[in-house]
Amino acid sequence: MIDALIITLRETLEASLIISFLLIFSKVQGLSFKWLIYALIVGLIIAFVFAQQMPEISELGDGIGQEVLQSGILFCIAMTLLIIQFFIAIRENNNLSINSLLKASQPNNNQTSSSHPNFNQYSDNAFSYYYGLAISTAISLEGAEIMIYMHSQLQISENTAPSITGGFLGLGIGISMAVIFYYLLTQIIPKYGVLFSRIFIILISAAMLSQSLTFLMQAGLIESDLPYWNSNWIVSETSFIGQILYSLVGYESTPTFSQVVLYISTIILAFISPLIHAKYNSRLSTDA
Amino acid sequence: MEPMKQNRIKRLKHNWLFFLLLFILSPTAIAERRIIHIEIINHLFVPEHITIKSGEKIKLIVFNRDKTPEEFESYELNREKVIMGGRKANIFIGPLAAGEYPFFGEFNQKTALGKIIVE
Repeated sequence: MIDALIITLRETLEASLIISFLLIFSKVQGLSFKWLIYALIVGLIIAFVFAQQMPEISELGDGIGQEVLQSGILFCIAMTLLIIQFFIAIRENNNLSINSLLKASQPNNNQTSSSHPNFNQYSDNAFSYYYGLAISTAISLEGAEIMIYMHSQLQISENTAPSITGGFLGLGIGISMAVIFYYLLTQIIPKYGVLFSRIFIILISAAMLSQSLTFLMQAGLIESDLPYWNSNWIVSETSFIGQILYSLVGYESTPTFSQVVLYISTIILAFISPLIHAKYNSRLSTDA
Repeated sequence: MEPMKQNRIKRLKHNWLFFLLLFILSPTAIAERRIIHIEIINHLFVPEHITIKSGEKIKLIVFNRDKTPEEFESYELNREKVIMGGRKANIFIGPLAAGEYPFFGEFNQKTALGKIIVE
């Protein structure tokens, strides 16, 4: 039962956290949460197909099909999340400048920009598709692994009940943690909800890109190198904290130099790109 | 455009082609690694221990002889791969510094345990 719990928790935690951060963006934008239902259905269908076809996928390209697929999917999720956070940042910047303009011109007007859909340069509805894409792809990989594991356990009669119980417990804990994060960021510190969600989305994306690189190394498509450091003595990757940190910020105790470079450069680029965009826009408006 | 400048641009283009070819062909070079075979039998890794040299790069071929799938997993090696029942999987490992690198079968964590010893 414990094995099933750990495996399900590990696989669901990251996807659950991404869902909670995207729900926070959705809430701020006043979007309906319908996209989540569609994304879950599509994600589970893709996961089922992956689980069914895994033997054939693994054999592709002289046995590197699985790694190439995982690497490609992780790259797609990371890029989608980075695009989302970029446009969310621009949206927030626009709202801030509009709010300050409104306050300056009408000091008694309490209306916020979120009630003015025309103020947003990018259509909020288009975000639903990006959210759906990110979630369905995130679920597809992890879901396939859980399905393969559960199928193997259900073949052994004495493992059936403990595996199902453990699986549901793991899923429950994963979802609970996401719910805690959602309420923490929307109810307790709502002012910083979007900012914290953006930070975590950037860190998760950077970790996914780094993991995508690891899969290419595992497949022998990219040369691997010696670990740049070993921080297992501080936080072991196998510990509970290590696992939480892995899901939240992509903690890796023995990363290679190329992983570190990719991780840090992704974070820097993700943080500065909206600032460059804002600076460029303000220069254009002053010129006009 | 001056002929010298044109030639330089042409040469640059050829350099790009060379590097592209090098990138495409690099897996072929990697394929020259030492191959080590291990098997999964009754949710156990056989052999449990593998010894390699420090800095050595290997290609690990894991043959899952069980009917059920297994996931080869190692935090220390940064490797994870699902191996379906009755199938083989290739995993490229190394270079590694001297030490011990445990690996396990995620679906049977109590029994499927192994170690790569780097000397």
